[in-house]
Amino acid sequence: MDIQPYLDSFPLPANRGILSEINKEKTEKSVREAMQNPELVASELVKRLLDPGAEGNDIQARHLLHTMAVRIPNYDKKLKGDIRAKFSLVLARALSENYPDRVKAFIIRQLQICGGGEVVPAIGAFLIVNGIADDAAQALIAIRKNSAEQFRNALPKIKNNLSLYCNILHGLAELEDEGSKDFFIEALESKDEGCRLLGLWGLVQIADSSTLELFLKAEQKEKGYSRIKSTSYCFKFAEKLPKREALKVYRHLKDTRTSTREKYILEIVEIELAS
Amino acid sequence: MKSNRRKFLKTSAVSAASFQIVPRHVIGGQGHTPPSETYGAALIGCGGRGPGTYERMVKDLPSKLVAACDVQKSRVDGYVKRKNPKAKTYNDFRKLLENPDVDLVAIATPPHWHALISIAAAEAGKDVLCEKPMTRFIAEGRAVVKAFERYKRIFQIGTFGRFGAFRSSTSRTIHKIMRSGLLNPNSGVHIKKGGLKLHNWSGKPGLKPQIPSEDLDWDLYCGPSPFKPYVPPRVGGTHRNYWDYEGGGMCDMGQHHFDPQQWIYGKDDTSPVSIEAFAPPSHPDVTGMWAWIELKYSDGFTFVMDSNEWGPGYDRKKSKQVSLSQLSEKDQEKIKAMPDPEPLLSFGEAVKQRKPAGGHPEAAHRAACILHLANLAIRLGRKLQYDPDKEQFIGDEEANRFLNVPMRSPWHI
Repeated sequence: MDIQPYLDSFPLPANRGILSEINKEKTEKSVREAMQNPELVASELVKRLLDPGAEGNDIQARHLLHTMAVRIPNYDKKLKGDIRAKFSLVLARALSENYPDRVKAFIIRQLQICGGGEVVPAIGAFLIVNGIADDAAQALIAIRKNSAEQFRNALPKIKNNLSLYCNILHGLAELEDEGSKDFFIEALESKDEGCRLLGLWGLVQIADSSTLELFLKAEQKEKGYSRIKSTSYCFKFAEKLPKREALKVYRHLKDTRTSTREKYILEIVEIELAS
Repeated sequence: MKSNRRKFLKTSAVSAASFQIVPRHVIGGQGHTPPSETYGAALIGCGGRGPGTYERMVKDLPSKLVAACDVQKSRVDGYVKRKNPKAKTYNDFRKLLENPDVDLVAIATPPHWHALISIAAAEAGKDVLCEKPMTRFIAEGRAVVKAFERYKRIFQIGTFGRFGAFRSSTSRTIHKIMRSGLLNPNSGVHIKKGGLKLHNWSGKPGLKPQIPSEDLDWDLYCGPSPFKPYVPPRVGGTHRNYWDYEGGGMCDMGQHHFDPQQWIYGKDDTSPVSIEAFAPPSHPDVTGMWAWIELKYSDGFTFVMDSNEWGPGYDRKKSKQVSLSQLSEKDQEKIKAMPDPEPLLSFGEAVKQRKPAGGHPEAAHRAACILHLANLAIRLGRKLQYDPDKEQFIGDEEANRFLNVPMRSPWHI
């Protein structure tokens, strides 16, 4: 399939390097035609993507592929078909091919826009790959459907890599994954303060009152900026709990935020306790 | 006039609706400077607008610069050297926020950091003046609103046109008509033609990656946004040209233009329900061209942005100001009998009185929503229906993904 006419309708940098010469009629016509055969067009576009800095130019290919990713969910709804899923699966399959990491990252970002549950396993495979794991995590968080399982499955494989471990904890917390309660609790014992904070935040996100005592015991050990954040997690946890349990949190804060520099916290707590 | 503790407490006592929490510097206490007449002030983001934002924050407040922060070491060093060599310098805002001498924080980083730093500053007990646009995406704004409510801190967005609007009796009358609900359906149309700097803040795609200077903490600069290969325009004023950090001229200038209009037209607590753009396909990384955007509120009132820089001009409706003459005589009398709206407090007055500033979080968030919704109509290429209470698009799950964009670990709202 010759997609060059579609690409040619998209602009290259003009004056000052910007895309000021873009023509709406021509580009829209190309997009409409490309959408008649989105799987084939997508597979051809992927082949034209380049590693940033490589010789050549993929500006038009990126522009068209992104436009298709943004618009295909709406086409899908109009046609009541499954072209969004088919298009996404073409992109997902490309992730297992031999493309540069930054090309794969770009493809994952397009799936973040249009992908559904069908592409989650393909993206999940990158949660254990340095350099693409954060792209994968953010795409999975955006897609949500079936994503938590990918994070949970990846976690045991990367426990010795702090950056990947935190990336996964972060994803599980964002997804408010109740099945990750034990992972969050385990993170509270980490020597890394960022990791501990993600554990605390994860517990806030799932707001399971059975973890409250453990949460309060762990949070009070934090110092400096981490203490500022753990205090905010206390407030957020309390806001999610029934009043009786929320009062436990406020009393805990009253007992533990006793230094002068935390007086502003105490004043908020007093208001909450009096309400 | 100098602020002192006695005057502060006196003012606070008569402010029934004021916040109950006094700033830390007033409290004093062990290990801290006793109640003083000076606010400890800090600047985060020392390039570009930073110094000006700082000066705006401390206007009318007795203060001194005690700390400054930038991910580019030479910038923070240079600023502190000029402003107050005794101030502490930081590369990481988290360390600055631990500093108990800081009462006030001016935030002038690129916008992908605005919400996170504003929230963290509130959590650290600081009052904030934050550069516009308030946020990079809509869910961030709601999180800022909640944080400032929770911590009872003062927030003012770094645009001040609404204070001028308040001084106009015509604007106050329009505000009262709009807030009264007597004009429904509302056929008012406000068109902003030009001034949104499309060409100035359009990005250059396809640049070759480079190695950032050792002076710049590129990882921290990217922060919650995707970690991308460094190209020089991603840093400095041209950060506006990247969706990762801002949203082009729309976000650079939009809050200036629409924040006062939002106040005049009484829309500080809501958002448009229908958004439609005339624009070509948007590039994935860089901002570009568009012709116009039409944003309608639930009562029928319409904002229009006409770029006047690309494509056809907007011709669906003519500009139509809301006025008393559109009401019945009886309703006109009702409007005339209404009291004027409460005066808008400057940041300095808000800090002293512990009352919300004129550009408070909810208003700033709603003004930023206008820009984000407009940009999303451009980027998504379809007409959008928006629920301003739930702050979600209706029946468009993929569009909703742009309202709460996942952040890079460990950042979250």
